[in-house]
Amino acid sequence: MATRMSDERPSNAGGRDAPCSGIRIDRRALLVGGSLAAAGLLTGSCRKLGRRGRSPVFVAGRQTYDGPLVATLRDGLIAGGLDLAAMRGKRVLLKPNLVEPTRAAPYVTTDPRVVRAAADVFRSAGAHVVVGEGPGHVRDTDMALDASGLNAVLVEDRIPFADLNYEETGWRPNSGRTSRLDGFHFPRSVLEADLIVSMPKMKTHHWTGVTASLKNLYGTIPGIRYGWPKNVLHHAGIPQSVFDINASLPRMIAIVDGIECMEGDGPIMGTPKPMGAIVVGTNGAAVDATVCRLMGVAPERIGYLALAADRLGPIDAARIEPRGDDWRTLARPFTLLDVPHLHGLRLGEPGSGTP
Amino acid sequence: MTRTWLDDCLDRLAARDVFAYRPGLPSASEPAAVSALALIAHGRIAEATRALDELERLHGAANRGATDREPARLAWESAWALSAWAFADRRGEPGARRRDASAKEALRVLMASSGKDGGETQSFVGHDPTLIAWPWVDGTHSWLEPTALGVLALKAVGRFDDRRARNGVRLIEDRQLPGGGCNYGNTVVLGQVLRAHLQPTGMALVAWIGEPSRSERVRTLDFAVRHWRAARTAPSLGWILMGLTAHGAWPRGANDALGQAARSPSAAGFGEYHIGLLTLAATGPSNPWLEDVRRAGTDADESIREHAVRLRSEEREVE
Repeated sequence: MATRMSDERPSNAGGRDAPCSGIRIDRRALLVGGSLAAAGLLTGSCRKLGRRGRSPVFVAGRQTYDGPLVATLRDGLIAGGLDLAAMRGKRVLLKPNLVEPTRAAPYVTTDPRVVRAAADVFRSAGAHVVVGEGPGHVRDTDMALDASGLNAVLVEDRIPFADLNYEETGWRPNSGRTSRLDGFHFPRSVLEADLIVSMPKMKTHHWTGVTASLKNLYGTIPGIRYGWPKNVLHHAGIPQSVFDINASLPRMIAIVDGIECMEGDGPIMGTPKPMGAIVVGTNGAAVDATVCRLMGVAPERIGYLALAADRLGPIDAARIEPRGDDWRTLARPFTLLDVPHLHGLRLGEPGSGTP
Repeated sequence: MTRTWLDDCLDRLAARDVFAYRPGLPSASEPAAVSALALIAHGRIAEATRALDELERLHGAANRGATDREPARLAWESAWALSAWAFADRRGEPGARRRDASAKEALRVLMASSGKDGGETQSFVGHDPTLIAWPWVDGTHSWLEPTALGVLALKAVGRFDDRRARNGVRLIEDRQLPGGGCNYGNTVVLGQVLRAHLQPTGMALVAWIGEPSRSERVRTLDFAVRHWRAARTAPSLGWILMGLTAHGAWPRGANDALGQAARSPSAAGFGEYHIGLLTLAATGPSNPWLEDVRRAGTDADESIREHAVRLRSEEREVE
């Protein structure tokens, strides 16, 4: 395995080769989609859809941070198949993306108003809500909380925060087995959560093309074991480690902040891209595939989504049940960095397999 | 006499048995080391013993129980232990001598750890990836913060001129951003200049303590002088102020800023780590810890020389 930097070139970042072909997938990874149903967290209609191989994804357009986000998220979670009545007494970990916040560029990170709205929805349902994050580039988590605006919201609403970079950890075997990693040290709050809600910002990524709910779970990996950046994962391959982490953390759903997004040189140095969208679903792969289409990117060309397809969930549009607004009316192409490893990712480009 | 936030914080550190990053978490090496450094720096030497012993327990337990699933104590944590124990030794902390064997082991762990050459990445990063210092985790690239901690530890034990310390100093110079300041250790990626942050900038400046003046480092000192007021949290403020102190640039208003940071609400809560950093930085323009490290560079201090000789002799026994 070649040595790589923090923002290293992933081995299957979206080139024309079939991503990770020939990699043997552990059967446990195939069971991820069923974990939420097994835990009794999905509605009956969603379980039926799942048996037919379709996953519902809710998209809401014309959203603003000062709008009725609580109603939007509640509608989205119900439409996405989550049984809110089953959340009473459950431990819910909201995982925003605070990778490297700066007041100068709020579109880098998940907006705190979306986190507040999600906390309201789950608290209203009787869940115990904790917000947790392990920023990948900054050791000063308090700075990340402060610069992102999240600290003020959490203090005001008395929402506890779990510093995932510094918590005590427990070992969990790698259920994905596409990387050479035997397993992962996860923070206690991650291991104890009944439900993890991945809350990424909709962004381009200069190595993987797109980052959304699956890639966001890099922030569940504790810096105290893996460093800042979490270079162990980069050395193991970004698409592979994204897949493996998600395969090892099956009870994840997604709420994507697609209101003020980032294009170009994401995930840190890109430019703002207003979209006004919220995307919600109980399957991260299906949500991320929909996010890609909103961004004008072919999901099957994104390395970790190609791995996830039909293992962690569907990415084929025919196997995703659209709910809410029609994503086709909201889609606007995102500018991708003009580098060879990101060529060929666009919907409709030769080799993308998507019209 | 009016009690200050500093008195309250030092009393809290002195009374603790657990030295953690956050309330409710177990002890960890870095909070224990920072707590001990702070107490000693404020002259509360005997009260630092619990933190120093806890550091020894953590370091020893980790290495005894090392397996794939529970890896050995990481080198950057050993660096913290070395720095704290060396300061305690110099300042006459009662238990210092009985930790010599642990210090020797910490030094062995630190010296055995090394980053990987990343030469093949040269075309898309702005720094020199062939420079080798310390990684966070063995088998990966060298990064700025573990390197700063490694350099500081070697300086603290009198190895100012060690090749590893020299390489570390050079690597940190190379990881400065073009406009000054540092981040975790990437400067330019795919042609894009990245952002600086105050905590790693402060750590870089502290790691350069006692080095002869070099124009290459001026831009980072300038960055710190210009931007330190943006630091509002304990890790960033503590480190950037110590970084300025290390170069004789303790700024006006620093004490007020430290007090304000100590009183600011944090959703995550303050651990001993945060209190330790604030109180350690609050020693002001003549920080005793940094002064000891600086004196180690001149090789003029008898107690540092003696400590270094003891570590070297025990190292030979291992070999």
